[in-house]
Amino acid sequence: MQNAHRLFLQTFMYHGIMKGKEVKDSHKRAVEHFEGTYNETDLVHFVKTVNDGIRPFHLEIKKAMDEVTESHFYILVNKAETSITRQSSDFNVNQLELFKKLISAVVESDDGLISSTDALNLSGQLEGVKMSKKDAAKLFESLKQKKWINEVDGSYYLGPRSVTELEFYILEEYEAATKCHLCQKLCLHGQNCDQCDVRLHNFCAARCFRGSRNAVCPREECRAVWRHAVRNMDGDEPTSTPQTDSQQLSQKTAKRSRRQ
Amino acid sequence: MEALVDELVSYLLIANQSKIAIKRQDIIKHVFKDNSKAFSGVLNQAKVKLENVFGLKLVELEKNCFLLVNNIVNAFPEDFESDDHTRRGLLMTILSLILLDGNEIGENELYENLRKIGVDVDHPHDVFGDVRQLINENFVKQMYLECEKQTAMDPPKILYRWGARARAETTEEDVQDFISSIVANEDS
Repeated sequence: MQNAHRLFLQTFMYHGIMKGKEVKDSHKRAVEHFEGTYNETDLVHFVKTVNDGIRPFHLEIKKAMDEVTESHFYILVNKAETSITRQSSDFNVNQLELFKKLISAVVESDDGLISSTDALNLSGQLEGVKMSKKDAAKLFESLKQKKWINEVDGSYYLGPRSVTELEFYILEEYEAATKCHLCQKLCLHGQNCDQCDVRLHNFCAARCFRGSRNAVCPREECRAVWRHAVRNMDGDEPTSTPQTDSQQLSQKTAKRSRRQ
Repeated sequence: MEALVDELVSYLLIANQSKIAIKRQDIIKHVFKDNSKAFSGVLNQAKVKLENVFGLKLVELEKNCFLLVNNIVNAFPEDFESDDHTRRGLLMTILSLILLDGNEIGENELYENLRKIGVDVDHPHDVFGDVRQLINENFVKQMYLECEKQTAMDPPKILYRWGARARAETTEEDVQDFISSIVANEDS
């Protein structure tokens, strides 16, 4: 570990989660500040050196993708306490309860989304001291700022920070929680097989089917026709169904708000 | 033994997040449990690891408290989120005022000076919110400022000085540079 690594690590410890581009910039600044030669391709090795250094302290920098926007993130994860109660330094008991309820609702949903209205209504379900909708809204704002949850089209979903840091907790706690069949990581928002339990991340599906017109469920015992829009790896036209995922998304959220 | 050192480092990193001083008794309670004899040895090894891996210095304060401060270089201002950035600006201003007033400043004088630059402690501020709370609860708790209540006086006088964290994280020179840069900007 050299000073550049330490500086990079300190930046990470401050932010907790950084976008791919921010990480690259941080790497560049750290190396150049200590008069090293910067090379973009060094990043992988650079992060590995940092990870080797911090491993004894149950820390690791992990890469993850936002399940909805598919942007790349790097997250500094503390693996020592995988239970959600570790976060209690940031939030009080009530707020933690509400966050847990939100997680529960997201996990139980088909698509990992919960409308902001439904989310606010969760505050009425708290046992013990109730929380006003105003305070609930404040909590959600705070969670958004700290990147635990994100918002799209008026719905909340768990951001890559939660999916990565709370993966163990969620898989343990919720039977309904599923892993992506392909990458075996927790998958809350993705594509579900019509016939069986298989679920895939959008980006995992894209990589697997590579725009093929004959996409089928990757589970051997199933092989049902995969009816979801599977885009090419270049991210352009979907090939199977006419609807893109984002169209499906806005239709679903529109349906949900009409129902209310 | 090594495992205990690593545990101590992990504990210190997490405890430091709140920026409140880490108490020796808490360390012993959470990390050492029954092993408190090993404290000094393990602490010294933890110090080394904190410097080598994280570039952080473990500073021991009076009253058996500890702090972690940056050992390598001041982080780049762009790295801070804007809230922190502006708060830091306010803090630097207060530290400057204390410095200029001979290392300690009375509460009334401090508030008067802040009012002159548009920060009125009696009204919620657009950016800082409750400024009194920010000063007395955040900055003092995080040990950037030290607050002394002189109850012997009538009415009791409240004095502010640089806190232990300010002394560890920055120098009088840095603050003087800060003052000069502001004065220079005003002139230009």
